[in-house]
Amino acid sequence: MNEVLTQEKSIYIQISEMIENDILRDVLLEEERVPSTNELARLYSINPATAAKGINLLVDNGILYKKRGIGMFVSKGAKEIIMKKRKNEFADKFLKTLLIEADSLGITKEELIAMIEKWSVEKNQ
Amino acid sequence: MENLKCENVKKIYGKKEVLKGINLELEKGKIYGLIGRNGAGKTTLLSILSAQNPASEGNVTLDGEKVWENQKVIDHICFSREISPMSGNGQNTLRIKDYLKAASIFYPNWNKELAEELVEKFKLEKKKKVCKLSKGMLSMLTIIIALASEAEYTFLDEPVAGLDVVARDMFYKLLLREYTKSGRTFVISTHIIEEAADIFEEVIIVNQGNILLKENTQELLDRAVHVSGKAEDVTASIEGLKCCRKELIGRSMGATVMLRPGEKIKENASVSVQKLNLEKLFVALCGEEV
Amino acid sequence: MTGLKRSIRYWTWIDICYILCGIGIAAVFGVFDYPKESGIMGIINKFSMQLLIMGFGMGLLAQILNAIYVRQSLSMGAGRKNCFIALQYQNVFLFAGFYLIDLFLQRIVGMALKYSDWTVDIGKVGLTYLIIALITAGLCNFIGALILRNDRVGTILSIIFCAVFGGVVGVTFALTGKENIMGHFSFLQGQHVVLWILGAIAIYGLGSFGQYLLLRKYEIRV
Repeated sequence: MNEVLTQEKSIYIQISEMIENDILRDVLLEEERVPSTNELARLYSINPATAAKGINLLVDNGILYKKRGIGMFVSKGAKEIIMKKRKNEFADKFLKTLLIEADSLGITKEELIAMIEKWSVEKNQ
Repeated sequence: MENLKCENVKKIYGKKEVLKGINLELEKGKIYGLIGRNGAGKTTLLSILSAQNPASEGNVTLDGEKVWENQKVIDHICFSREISPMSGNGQNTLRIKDYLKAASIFYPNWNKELAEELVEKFKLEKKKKVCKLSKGMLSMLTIIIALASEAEYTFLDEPVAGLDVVARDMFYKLLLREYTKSGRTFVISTHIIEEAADIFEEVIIVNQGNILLKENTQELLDRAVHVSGKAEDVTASIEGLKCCRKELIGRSMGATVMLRPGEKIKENASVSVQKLNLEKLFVALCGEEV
Repeated sequence: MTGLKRSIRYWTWIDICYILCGIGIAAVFGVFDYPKESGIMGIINKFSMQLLIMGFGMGLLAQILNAIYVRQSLSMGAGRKNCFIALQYQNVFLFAGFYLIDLFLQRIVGMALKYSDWTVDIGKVGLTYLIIALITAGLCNFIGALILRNDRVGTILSIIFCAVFGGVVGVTFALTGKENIMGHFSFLQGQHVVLWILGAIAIYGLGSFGQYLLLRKYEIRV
């Protein structure tokens, strides 16, 4: 929550990702209520319908569920759902761009693997 | 209550056709953004929709009834237009409190407490004459009248003109506060597009007297892309797609494309594909070559 | 509250202000410029004459200044028909208002002060006043609407009208001194009274009709 909205992505996607980040960082815990669409709208100065679209993405993925008359709540096991979802999207989101960029720079697959190993070693130091 | 419908509305001033056959349906409970260049016909359209001025041709109906000179229907509409510091004969010597009093008489749902709250929030002096107000304060007055009118359909014509960025932020927050509380329908015309884009559920673009498009803002932005790179690569990627604007500098080309349902940019490593914001899209659609 | 009631309420506020203004101005003239020999009755006499003139003055002023109020009420959802009716109501309010105040002064205050020398014939004065009021109101209606539609044309016309009006009043004052001003218009009560009445109604009708036409197609622009 409280991240700044950018122009790079659709607003509603940013809303859903922000809530996902909060769940991963334990800012929002399982079975806790998430802010309503009206609260989100007022917080970010966006239209409630847009906020609702973002929330619905999370409901569709099983990350949030609705308690009638009360609001939206974080599902049990939401963290695992988000991790799994992001793992599946990892290739599409990051690998694709990385490989295209590497290709355009003439970096071979072997050089790439070497780079990854070097970077992992450095990170562990 | 049925929606506010505009059927084939034309408006001619002398020899000039300012509105050329507008067909529009405004659903209840949404915040609409009305954008268009100066002279596109935004204010004229809002005047006709709110029955303040007559159309040359065509009808505007609310709940199936024509709005023109129909008090029952007009009670549900508020068009808070720009207040001029000049009147016909000289300066506008009416005071802020005169406007608030008039509004309390004419708007059946006028919320006096809200008006008082907003006057305080905006730090306006009720005794001040309109001709002595700054542009920003005039905007604030029109905003107060619009919000406190509690009309089902509320129109604002460039409400943030003259407001500094902090006041503009206040306006958007107040607007959303009102909207989430009451679910009223708002139509807001503005030139400061990018700031307000997130607030609009739907955006209506008026260009040269016609409605260019009326669409859900997020869906519109989802299908607007900017493709750039080497001219031949770009042309190849956008083949068969609807291109609204092309810019060429040397061998590089930037193309604005509106994707239709099911269309995608052909994957190509040598072109950059970026999302457009509403302001840039608007310029691409309605801009002129220099 | 229906639309018409709202317009009436709106204009009533405005008209009360005009009446108060008119009383104030009349009082100033009445107090400072009266035939000193008649004492207090002289003041009241003068004051009441001024009031009648104020009726015309304010009626004229109201129509000239109306543009801003018409624009304000129309831009807040008042219908043009209701606005038109309210403008005629304004004429009645102002002209009749001043006349009635004058009547009150002359009859009631005069009687209370046991002033027996009152020779004013209310009926004749009333009729004369009505005729002149109808003519003035008809012309003012039209001028006011012209100002609304086209500021410059209307303003020039209103300046001319004011000048003529002021001139007529000044001349009639000068001619025979400070007695009953309505006496100067006694020609209106000759044999041709009925013609005058019909003519006045016709002028009022025409002026108002012009006002209606101009108002109906009036476009509110900033």
